[in-house]
Amino acid sequence: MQSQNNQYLQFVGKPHITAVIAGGRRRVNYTFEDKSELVEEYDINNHELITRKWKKVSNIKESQWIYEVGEAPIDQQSELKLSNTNPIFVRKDTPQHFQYRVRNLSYPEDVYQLEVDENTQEIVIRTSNKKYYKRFAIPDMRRANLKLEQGKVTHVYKNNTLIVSYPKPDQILEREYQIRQEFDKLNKKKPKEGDLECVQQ
Amino acid sequence: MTTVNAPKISEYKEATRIERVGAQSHIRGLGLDGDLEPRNISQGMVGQKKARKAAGIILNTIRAGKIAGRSILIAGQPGTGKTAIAMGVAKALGNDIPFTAMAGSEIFSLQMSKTESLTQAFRRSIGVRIKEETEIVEGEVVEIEIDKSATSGAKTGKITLKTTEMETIYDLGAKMIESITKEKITSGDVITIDKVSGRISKLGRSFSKASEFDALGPQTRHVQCPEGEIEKRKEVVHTVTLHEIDVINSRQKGFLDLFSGDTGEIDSEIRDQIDSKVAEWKEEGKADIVPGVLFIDEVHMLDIECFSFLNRALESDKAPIVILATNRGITTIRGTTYKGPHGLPIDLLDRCLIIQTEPYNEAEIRSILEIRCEEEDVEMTEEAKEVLTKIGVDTTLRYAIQLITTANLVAQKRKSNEVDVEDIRRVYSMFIDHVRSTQYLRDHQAEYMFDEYQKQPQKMQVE
Repeated sequence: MQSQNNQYLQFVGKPHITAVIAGGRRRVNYTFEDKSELVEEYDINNHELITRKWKKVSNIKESQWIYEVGEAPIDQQSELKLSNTNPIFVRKDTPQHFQYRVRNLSYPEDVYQLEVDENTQEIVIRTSNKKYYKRFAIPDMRRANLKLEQGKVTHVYKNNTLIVSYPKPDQILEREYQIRQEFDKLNKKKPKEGDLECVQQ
Repeated sequence: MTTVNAPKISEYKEATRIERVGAQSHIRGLGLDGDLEPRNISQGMVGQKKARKAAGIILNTIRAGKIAGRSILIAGQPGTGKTAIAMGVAKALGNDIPFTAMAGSEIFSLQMSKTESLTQAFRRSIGVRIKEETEIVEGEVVEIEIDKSATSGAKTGKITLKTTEMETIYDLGAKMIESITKEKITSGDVITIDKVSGRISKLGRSFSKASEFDALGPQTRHVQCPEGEIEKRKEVVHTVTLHEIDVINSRQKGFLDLFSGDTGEIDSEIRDQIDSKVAEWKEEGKADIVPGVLFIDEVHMLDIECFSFLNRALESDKAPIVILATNRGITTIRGTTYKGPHGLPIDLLDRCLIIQTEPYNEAEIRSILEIRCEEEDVEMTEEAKEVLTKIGVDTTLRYAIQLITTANLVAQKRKSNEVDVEDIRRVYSMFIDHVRSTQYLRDHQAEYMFDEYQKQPQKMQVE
């Protein structure tokens, strides 16, 4: 695990998994051998992934949650925070695609340019008027050791939102299918708020 | 197309007054030249050459970082610049080397034992320099907007940063606004802000503004406008103190520590673990140990148990440089019935290098008063300065310094910008120094309550 790839936190050893129903969602908690944690939240009915966040334990400073999917709660007290006029970048997948939305973008449609940087394995959003720029990788692809392919990235612009999509490869679709099966089985037991569940890895 | 928002004049004046002026706030360093010779008046320090030169030698020892566990004692009469020299050393060392200043009596706390207080003080003075990945915001400043609310007086602000590819606007909190005003950040500066610590660094000025030569100093560095994203993760060199690492690790251990906060006692087991981990990092080259300075003022307030602890602690190879200061002569050593020089036991004195400070002469007092006038933003006529110097010589330096601001207020009352002799005379008669106070007491002892001189109980007057 190199420090540059810190964002793409990998599983370290076999994690201890617990799941609980909280706030109408299924929250799965993974705790790893080095005390880092992963929390995933799924919609209880259609098993859509709503949030995924990681916390790495550091000896030197306070650890914070890093959000991979979903939005981190805004720290109102923070001395430096993004003004609400800025574009907001959020990931929210669909069953077939990894999907990223950039809201609050008011520039015309032809301004946006998308490409895959094959060297760094990142998707790059550029604007010809130099107002917005974002580089991001898809951690799920990295973890499965799959390469991003040029030409598979698509984008749509409507309602001041840019929607970037990348199709999920079969390997990932398989795994998600299995997770959904597992959750369906758990749902048969009609779980209520606050219930703890046993989850197979 | 950029717009520059120059702060309004009233805002600017306010911005420069943000820090309350402290007794030693005029000290910027030890005022030594390249050969370690003290200049007569420099960096806020005046006179006291022998002591400053000695301090300069110690300073270089600290900077070399190779020698740990030395202790220095600065001894001298009250008002001879002991704390000022320690401040000079602190400022000269800069932000990288941990400097902890404390007064002897702070050791005595109900929440912690004396040895724990001392251990924490020691560990606050040892730094670990680590390269760490943190989230930073880096870009060229396009525009800064600071508004002051008419109702609450609170400041709000926005800053627009850009790179070659994008632009972002941030909302600023009060502390951030202060830092930005203090560092005089303007449009065209290329800056880095550490999101976690809130620290701002100016990297230079953007090349695109290079045409504004006359407005800039010769030292201005020009840098390229940054590329790519504004928010990045970068490796930054960070100095954390051992105490901070202790606190973080003790908090993560158990819930109970959350209640005691970081004034609670820290397990020695945790400390041992940290020590071995830091040693490991040092071996791997990930971190550097930076021994800093622990300054204990009024050291005669410590008692014999603390002194024994100090003796032992100084012998560790990770000990910081300890600077002690006291103005006592031959006094009882607290916790014993014995007297010792400066109130310290001889075995501790033996481990110290002693620097003497001497009382200032008239010319030096005058220079110091002039520097303080500047620091406190007070204009004074020449005659007033003469009178004030004379007062400083006859009474004490501190008393004269305190008259500066009070005389200024009196002068403002009679609508004058400059302090004159009559103002000094007025405050001299209103506020008495300790010499006159003692004299007054001697003359009027009988009238004060609980006076030791009276053998009969006093009758209290009831109106």
